[in-house]
Amino acid sequence: MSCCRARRENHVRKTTAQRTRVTRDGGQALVEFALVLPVLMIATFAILLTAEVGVARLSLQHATAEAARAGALTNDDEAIRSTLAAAVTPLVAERVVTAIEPAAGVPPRNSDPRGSLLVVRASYAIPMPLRFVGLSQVVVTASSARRIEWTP
Amino acid sequence: MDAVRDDRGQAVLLAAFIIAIAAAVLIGLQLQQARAFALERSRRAGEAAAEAATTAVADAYAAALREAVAKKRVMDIGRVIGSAATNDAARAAAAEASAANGGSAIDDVTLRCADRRVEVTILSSGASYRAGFPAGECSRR
Repeated sequence: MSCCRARRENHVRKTTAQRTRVTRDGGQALVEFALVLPVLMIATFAILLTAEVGVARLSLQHATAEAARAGALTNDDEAIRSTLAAAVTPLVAERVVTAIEPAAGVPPRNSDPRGSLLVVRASYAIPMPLRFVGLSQVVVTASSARRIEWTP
Repeated sequence: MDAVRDDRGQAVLLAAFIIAIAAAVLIGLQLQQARAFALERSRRAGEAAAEAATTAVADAYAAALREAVAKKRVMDIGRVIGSAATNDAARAAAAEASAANGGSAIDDVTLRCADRRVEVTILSSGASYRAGFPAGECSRR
């Protein structure tokens, strides 16, 4: 008998609790908003990141083209780097990693390079506040080549 | 009718709309960026090709000028820019520069001597790019 009574009491308690849960809908919008907020934040972040990567790609492409042109006319690494630094805005010039091929001390650049190709490569790391998911930075690269016109 | 009267779930519906708009913006942004980047790359490759072809023609012009001075003759600029060797050198230089910049193939290379200037025109993927250098031997217009 005591077993059945306890079960009945338990059933009544459960039914009351369910009824309370169904009839009270206060704070529901807040809960729904809290559920979708991370998704909204990810979408917003993705849009901003895409725009930033696009700007970086175009800036870097423009800067490498200008730098390669300067290199084709002067055959001077310093002129190449300074042209790139001046043309890379709005990116931070100090964070741009530049590589010039072939190097200044290597043939044909150390003798008569006219007619050979000069390639300027640059990379730029866009830092991201997502280190905890393993995505610390996005690296954007660009390269440009020009035929050297400079004569010794 | 319950579904119509019920006021639960508007936030989720609104969020779904916002996410859909965000996804559309993201895809559109990426497509436009890829297009702008490809255009920029193609333009830069065309410019590099025109400059490279002009350098090759200028080298041929300088060699012919040196030869004419050595032989004490008047240089025939028409023969220089009309020769197959100069045209082939210009085309090869343009193709090399375009390929190195990720550009497309060179469709045509035109050399023109007018207004005291040699002008090289490159046609690549329907777009033309020009470069040139001064040459006193070319007649005025």
